[in-house]
Amino acid sequence: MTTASPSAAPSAAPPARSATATRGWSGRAPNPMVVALVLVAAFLFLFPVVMFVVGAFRTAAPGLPGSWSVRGFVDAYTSPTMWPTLRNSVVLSTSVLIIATSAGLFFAWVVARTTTPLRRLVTPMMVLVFAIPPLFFALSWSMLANDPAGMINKAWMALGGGGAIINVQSWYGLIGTSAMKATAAAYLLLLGPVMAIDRALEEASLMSGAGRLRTLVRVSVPSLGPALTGPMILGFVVGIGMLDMPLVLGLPAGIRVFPTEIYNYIANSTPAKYAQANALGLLLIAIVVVLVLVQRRVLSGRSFATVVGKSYRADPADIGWRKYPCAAAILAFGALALILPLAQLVVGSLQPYFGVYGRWTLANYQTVWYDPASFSAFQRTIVVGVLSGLVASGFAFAAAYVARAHRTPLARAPMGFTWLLWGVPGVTLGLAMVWAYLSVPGLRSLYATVWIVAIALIVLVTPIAARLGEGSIAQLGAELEESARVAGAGSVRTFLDIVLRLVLPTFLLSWFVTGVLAAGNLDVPILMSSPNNRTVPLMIYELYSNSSLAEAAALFCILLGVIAAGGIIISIVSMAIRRKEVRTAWARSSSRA
Amino acid sequence: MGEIVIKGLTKRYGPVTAVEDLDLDVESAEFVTLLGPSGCGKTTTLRCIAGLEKPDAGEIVIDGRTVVSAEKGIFVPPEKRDVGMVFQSYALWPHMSVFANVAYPLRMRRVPRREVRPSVMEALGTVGLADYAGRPATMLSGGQQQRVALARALVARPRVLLFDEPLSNLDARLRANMRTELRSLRTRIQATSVYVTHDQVEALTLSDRIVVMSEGRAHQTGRPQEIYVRPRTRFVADFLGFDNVFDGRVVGVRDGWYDIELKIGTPAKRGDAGPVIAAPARTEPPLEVGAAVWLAVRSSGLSPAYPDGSPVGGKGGGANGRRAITGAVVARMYLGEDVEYAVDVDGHRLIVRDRADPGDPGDPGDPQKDDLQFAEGSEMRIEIDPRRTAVFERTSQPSGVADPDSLTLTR
Ligand SMILES: Nc1ncnc2c1ncn2[C@@H]1O[C@H](COP(=O)(O)OP(=O)(O)OP(=O)(O)O)[C@@H](O)[C@H]1O
Ligand SMILES: [Mg+2]
Repeated sequence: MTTASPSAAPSAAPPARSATATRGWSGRAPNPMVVALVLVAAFLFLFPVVMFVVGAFRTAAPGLPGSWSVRGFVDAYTSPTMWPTLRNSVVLSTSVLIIATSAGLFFAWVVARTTTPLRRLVTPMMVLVFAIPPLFFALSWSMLANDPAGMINKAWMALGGGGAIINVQSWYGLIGTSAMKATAAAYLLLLGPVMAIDRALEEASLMSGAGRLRTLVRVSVPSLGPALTGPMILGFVVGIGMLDMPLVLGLPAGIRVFPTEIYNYIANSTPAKYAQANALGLLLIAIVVVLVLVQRRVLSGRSFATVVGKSYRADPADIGWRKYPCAAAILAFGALALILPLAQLVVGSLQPYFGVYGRWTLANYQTVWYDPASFSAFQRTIVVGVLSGLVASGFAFAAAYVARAHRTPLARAPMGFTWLLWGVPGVTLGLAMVWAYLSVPGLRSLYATVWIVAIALIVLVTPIAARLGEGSIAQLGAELEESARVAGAGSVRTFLDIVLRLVLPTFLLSWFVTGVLAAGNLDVPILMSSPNNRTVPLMIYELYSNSSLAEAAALFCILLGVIAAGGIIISIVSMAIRRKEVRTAWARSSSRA
Repeated sequence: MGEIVIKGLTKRYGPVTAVEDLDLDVESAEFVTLLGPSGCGKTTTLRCIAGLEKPDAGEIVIDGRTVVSAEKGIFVPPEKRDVGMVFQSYALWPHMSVFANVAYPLRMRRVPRREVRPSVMEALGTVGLADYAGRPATMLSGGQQQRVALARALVARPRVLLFDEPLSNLDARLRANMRTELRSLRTRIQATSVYVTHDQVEALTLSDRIVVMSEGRAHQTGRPQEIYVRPRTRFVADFLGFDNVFDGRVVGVRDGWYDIELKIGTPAKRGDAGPVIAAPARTEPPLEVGAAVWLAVRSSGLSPAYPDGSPVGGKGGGANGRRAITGAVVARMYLGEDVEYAVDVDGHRLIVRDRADPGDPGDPGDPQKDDLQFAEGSEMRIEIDPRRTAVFERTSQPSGVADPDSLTLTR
């Protein structure tokens, strides 16, 4: 806010000056903080995308002299693998979308509206599945179903079955594990809207003679309307942009998708075919951006009739015997997504060599512990996770706050940029960062350091932090701040005393979630790898590629332990904050009594 | 101390002009209410005084200090204006206790710790919540939250108190109680107050002066009785419950009174075009014979009488041939204390309000018997009380009235 103290204002200003003063007044000279934020946002989000587009038309690698050309497009789009790749990507995305949205909706409905046993486990379970790196599912499932060393096949054969019973390095495995991961996101997006479905709508349908199931299909689900587009688009975006699952589960079965093709152009061609990779990446970005724009359009055009804040009754209904199949579904999901993979990783990490049962050893942990490379990878990963989560959340919450406080198009721009990158695949983002930072002389020194990885991960997770920030800032009534201003607090003081304090719990959550997503990400660092900036997921993938599965499992178990420790720290801090509040309130009331 | 002078205040939001060229002087310790329909710019005016909005033109002076002037480029931020404000949503900070909420303005003013506690407890005592100091602010009922918000506005003894519809979130009963409390409070704390409401009862009971606003402009400023009895514009009359409006013409001017010939009803004298009604001549400027006017009358200013001229109910005066018109009852509504009739007179709908006849308390009565004096369809003679009328020069467009029908029918 531009402020002028009375003494600073010339009481008898010459006409020319007062004219400019008036113009500046009504024109609202932009706030320096807003401008700074916009510049940072443009540098972080816009610049890489622009360089990425530019790179698609260059003949040389980033930072090297070359000339303009459309060769990359021609090569990439006329390559004989292009059409199978497109088909595979669409099949994968569509399947993930359908499965994840229906499963997410199903679990949300079970939790919000029924008395199914175990329903209280679902949300913690989904948060875990959402936060745990996708590489975890890829790696552990490829181990579980390994023929003949995986636990499942071992158990099958112990029961007398001949040969392997499942093979996850196939379409089913790829779709299944990807959908599991996306289900968690869909569930978390849908739980709120499902809880907020107006009971009156359903009751009216029941009164008019429709059965429960018909009511569910005809009234409850349609009344979610626009809220369903979120998880659907997310499912598609996850399916089309994910690299790690296809790399581990798809490629061995010959299933190529866009992200693996992009990766191949860079990692497995000499010299790396940057223009081709960029040309394919552009298509991905275009698809994602169009989908996000369509969704925003849909959301702004229709009101969330079901999600307004008016009071609603959502008492869960007893659905009779049907609740037991529902409970079984919860158990099955928990087993497939968490328990079996985790058990396999732990078991695998304790085996001297993957698949050797009956002789347990800590050798893998010792190897990791005494290996300086993995030790520094852990250091790096923790720094990257903590830092990326903090910066991304700080930026996102500041941008959300500024957008609301200033309400000008300029102030809204940073939030708009985060929407631009919402769902942009990690591989393309990694590639874009390489282009952006290698093209600028001063920034080139960042290449091959851990900092470029950290910056890229910040860019990757900021959109997620932004959604959380947007939500929690929007919940703050503007009058809460205005009353602080009128009470005598300046704008900074108001921000610290009121805004920051009230969003702190969500901020901590955002920090943790985005930190874990950053630390566990493989797609981004894989394109920037150099010996000095490898993070743990990259090491795990390398161990996996070299068939050192037991060691990879040990590394993963330690990573999960570190993440769990982070989670415990964050919970303790959150609890301490809440406790302090209660204690001060209690102390005051007792001192008065 | 604490007087407010507003000159030429204008605030636009894009194409919408929320407040237009508003002038207002509030004297020290005066209680002024901004009254008007939704969207007329009351909140915007208040927020400009508080410093939460920057006006596009005009200036505001509080206590001799210019706090905002668009022309001179002066803007004093809200925290430096020394005002207290009660927000419509209360805006209590949910992470603080009641005590901490009320103490906040004192902390921001760097009041020494020793003095904070007694001041906060005094403010909480004023609103009757001294026992609740230790509660989290969220664990209070709506009325209690409202009072905490009030205590927080009062605690630092600001020169100016601003209220934005502070009672609108309360239920009718609590609202009446809080109105009484506010009234007794305002005599105790001598702060200059600006109060925003669209409820005329609140405005009439609390204010020293009322400003009736519409579409960003002040239509009339005056003491409550003045506004209530002598609205200066058709809009003010409509808003304050003059629910019958007749088209008419001035046919005579006698000292202090106009004779107004109505377009509806049957003339009492041969040669007249319609019934002639006397009405106080308060228009500014005075009207000449022949001027086209509106005659506005409260529903309570119309009394029903039987067609033969005999009076009905509690308030009927003597039959006055020159003032009466006749129509047919088309609907009636029992309101407990009163009865309201919709009467059709030559195709115009009039609303007539009469005291309900409670009947003979000793008589057990026939439960089926209709105690209301006029059945639907029966003929009613309506007498107009000249003292409850207001006259306005007729313009093509009633200024400030978007839809006169809706205003006439809602009260
Ligand atoms: N932030 C804003 N942006 C755009 N228009 C606004 C904004 N605030 C108010 N307005 C418009 O300005 C006009 C006056 O609004 P204001 O809030 O002052 O009305 P009000 O008299 O307080 O109404 P109510 O009784 O409903 O609270 C309205 O037309 C409103 O739509
Ligand atoms: Mg208002």
